[in-house]
Amino acid sequence: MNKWGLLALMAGIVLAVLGILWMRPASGSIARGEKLYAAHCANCHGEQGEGLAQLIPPIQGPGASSDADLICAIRYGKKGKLEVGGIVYDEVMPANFELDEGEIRDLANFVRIKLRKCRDCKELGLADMPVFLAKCTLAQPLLLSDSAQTQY
Amino acid sequence: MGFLLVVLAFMGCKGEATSSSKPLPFLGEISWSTAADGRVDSSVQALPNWRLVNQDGDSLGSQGISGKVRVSDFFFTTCPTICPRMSGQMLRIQQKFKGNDGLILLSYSIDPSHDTAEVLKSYAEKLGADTRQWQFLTGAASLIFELAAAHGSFAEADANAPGGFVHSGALILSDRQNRVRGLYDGTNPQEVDKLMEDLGRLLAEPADFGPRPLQLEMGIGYE
Repeated sequence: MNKWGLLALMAGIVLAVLGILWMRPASGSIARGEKLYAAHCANCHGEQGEGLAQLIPPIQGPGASSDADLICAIRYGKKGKLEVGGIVYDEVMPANFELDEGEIRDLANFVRIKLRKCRDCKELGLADMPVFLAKCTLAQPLLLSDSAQTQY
Repeated sequence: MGFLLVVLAFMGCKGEATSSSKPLPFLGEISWSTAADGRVDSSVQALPNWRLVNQDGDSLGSQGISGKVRVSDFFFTTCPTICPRMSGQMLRIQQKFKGNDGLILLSYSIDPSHDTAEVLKSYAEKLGADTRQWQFLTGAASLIFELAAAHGSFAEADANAPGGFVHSGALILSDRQNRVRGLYDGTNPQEVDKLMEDLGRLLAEPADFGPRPLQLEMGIGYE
């Protein structure tokens, strides 16, 4: 095989691998999460999660929350002072009890992987949700009662 | 004797109906009359005058800001839905027209029982609003709801709505004589781009252009 034949073979292999990756069925979690983000989060946190001045914190960039904090905030909301990137925010974030665990997973996957552009992050599964949510109910009992009393 | 012709013109129109060479439409009811000498007079409803309290706790009357082009919205500080997006777009407008004395931005709170002057001041500060050009206003809820309707917007208490209120996301553009010239979706950056283009045209427009403003008679709290 001459030089050009070898190059053509290598290009073919590369294209085949790319094609297999392209055709690989996606879970759909991130795409669903994108729609949920537009409906439930973008009004406050912005289209790209950039936040709004010193009123609404960003949810991407330096100081972004951990997976556990993100999931707890989606379900139970947030109240009290929160420092992100050197700015202290103090607005109330409403709870989202209308979202089921699958929707919270989808939202979290969209924020973690697409919005934050985390290439190393793996998609969370439905089985992960009870583990995260059980911890945040223990860690944030005040948020639970506050959210339940807030009419949003 | 003259005759009176009442035309419901431009209701529901938006600024996009005009090209950059044409003046912006006047939204509302336009009346024409012809006097005995044949002179034709036209008038259009203008926004009512009001007296409210601003973010500094000062009493502010609309007549004190007469002669300015206004961009107005109806919002509340604890709004869990579209208000932050609207405030973000108002901030864009302020940044683009920073220091322009011919313009004033007005944000009317539709939740005055919660949004006291102190709360509004804190909101304005966190937003980075320059209150020399952007006033946050509070007053009796019924008055604010009536004002929203007079602007062609909408606001109402609703215990079943997120945050307890339903309201329009419109940003309302009115001219130097308090005549409404455009309503724009304050949650859509492209619409706000159009608003800013139209705002520039209103700032350049002669103050006495178009039909005579007809002041609406309103209830308690108006001047």
